[in-house]
Amino acid sequence: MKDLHIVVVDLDRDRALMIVDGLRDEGHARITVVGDTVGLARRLTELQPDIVLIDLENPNRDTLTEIATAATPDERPVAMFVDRSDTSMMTAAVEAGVSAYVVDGLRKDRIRPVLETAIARFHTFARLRNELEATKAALAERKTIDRAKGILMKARGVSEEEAYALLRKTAMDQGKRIGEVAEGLVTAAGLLS
Amino acid sequence: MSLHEISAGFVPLTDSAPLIIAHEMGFAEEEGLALTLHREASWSNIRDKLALSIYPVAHMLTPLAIAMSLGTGPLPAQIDVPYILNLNGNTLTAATGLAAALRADGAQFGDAAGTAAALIRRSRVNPLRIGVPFAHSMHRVLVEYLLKEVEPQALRFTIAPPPLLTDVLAAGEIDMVMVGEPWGSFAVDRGEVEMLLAGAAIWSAAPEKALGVRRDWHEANPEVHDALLRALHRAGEWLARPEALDLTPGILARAEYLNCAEEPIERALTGRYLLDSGGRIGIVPHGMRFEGPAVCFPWKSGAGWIASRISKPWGVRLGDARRVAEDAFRPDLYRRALAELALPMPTASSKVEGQLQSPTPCAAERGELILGPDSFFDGHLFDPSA
Repeated sequence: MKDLHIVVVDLDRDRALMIVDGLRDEGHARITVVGDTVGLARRLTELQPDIVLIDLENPNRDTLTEIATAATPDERPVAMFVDRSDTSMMTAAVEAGVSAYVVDGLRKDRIRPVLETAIARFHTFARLRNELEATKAALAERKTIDRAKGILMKARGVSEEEAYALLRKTAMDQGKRIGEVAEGLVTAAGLLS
Repeated sequence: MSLHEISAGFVPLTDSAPLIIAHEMGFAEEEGLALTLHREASWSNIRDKLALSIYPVAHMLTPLAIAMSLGTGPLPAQIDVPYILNLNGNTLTAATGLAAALRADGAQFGDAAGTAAALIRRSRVNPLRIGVPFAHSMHRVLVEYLLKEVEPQALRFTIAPPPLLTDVLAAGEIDMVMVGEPWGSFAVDRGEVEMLLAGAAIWSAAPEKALGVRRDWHEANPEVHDALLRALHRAGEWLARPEALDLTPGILARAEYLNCAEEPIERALTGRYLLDSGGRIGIVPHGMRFEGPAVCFPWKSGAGWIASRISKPWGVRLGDARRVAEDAFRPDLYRRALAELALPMPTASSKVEGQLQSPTPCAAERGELILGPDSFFDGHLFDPSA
């Protein structure tokens, strides 16, 4: 059975590499990554993919939709993968953020494993990215709180614990998070100095 | 009181304002709704998520709602149009070289007939290559209507998302772009294009975006559906107030919405456009409009006109196209949802499209209703009963 040529169209290079890894683990060897490109139709005609995976954050999906609805099946390099007997897979794909386009005549049992791998990797990537964002945000907030404490200690001659207690009390009184109060103080101090 | 949750998709364009304002100004909450907005990067995503019931309603290209109900496209679904989010708002721009040649040949901003004539003459020399964001769109319908006299082989459409359309034009692959605001204005600011026409110059009452609603959902959830329409109505009325102009661009420009500069958003809202990077101004008297039954009532005749234009290009029998399109437009739902607001409401559900050259009172229940002009650039009349 001929090895499938899979094209991954993804704006996010890190995620694209993750998809490629996942597909290679499943034994697929012919994979091409396409970044943002103005000539998508031309590239797809050159590449002759069996399957195209595209992330749903990519506005180029509308270009791909147009390519996939060309007048005659011969002119159409790929069509959107639609499995009317199993909309749950399509829903899973859309919710994971990926859509698949396939060459005419490709059997569902060849497409499904590829799409399943893509869905899994998209989820993993999203989870990792969220964790990274949360970590970065927590770190930035910690820095801001430290700066706010320093400003209070200097301005009011209080200890570090007292400075933190002041921030916490203000946060509680105003129904805000300590990080928000700290940010406000740091911004104000910058404007007043 | 607990709020009903409802999710809605939108694409980041100036005419997604009614949904955004319904949320941001609290109109949804006042109607008992917890409205969550889902921003989508493409119309394909809106289509798929509606078709798969990931959410039940969305900001939609009016022809896309009709296409889905017709079964044209990969994921069909019966999508009803109980509410028109806005009339008009597209602009046609051309590469500066072409624009200058057209102006030298008599084209003027606001004069669709003159511009069409110049483009037709041009098409006999070089094919016209036009970029639009999506095939099933008023952009395409209006441009094809404007250029109906052009030989089919001299008119070529390229589909690309708005952010790329100007790049595609700059690369020389297309000569003109018909796109929703603020993208036309962005392109003008980049200096590569001049604005030729507002879509409103082609048809002054084109139903541009619809609130697309899954029929099975609104049949099962009439109260939530009606509450959403009332919230959108309030948002539309708010958008027409003078003070809205101060606040709206700033809200729409936010990172979670259009994520862009404020000033270009203002142009579509005021109808005062920059036509080129030299500062030439063009006024569009009946530009993007959001407010009240004169704008948002889903006239079946509007659906009929769109159907008459898409039947051949989409390969659908005219009778089927009209039947499905007119069935999808739901003035009955609009009337029902807004009944408690006691607004002046048209007594008819259909009108002769193209008849009104200027604001005109129409037959209405409960007071006076003034309809804006709905004229076609060529004086055409579409009688839906013919």
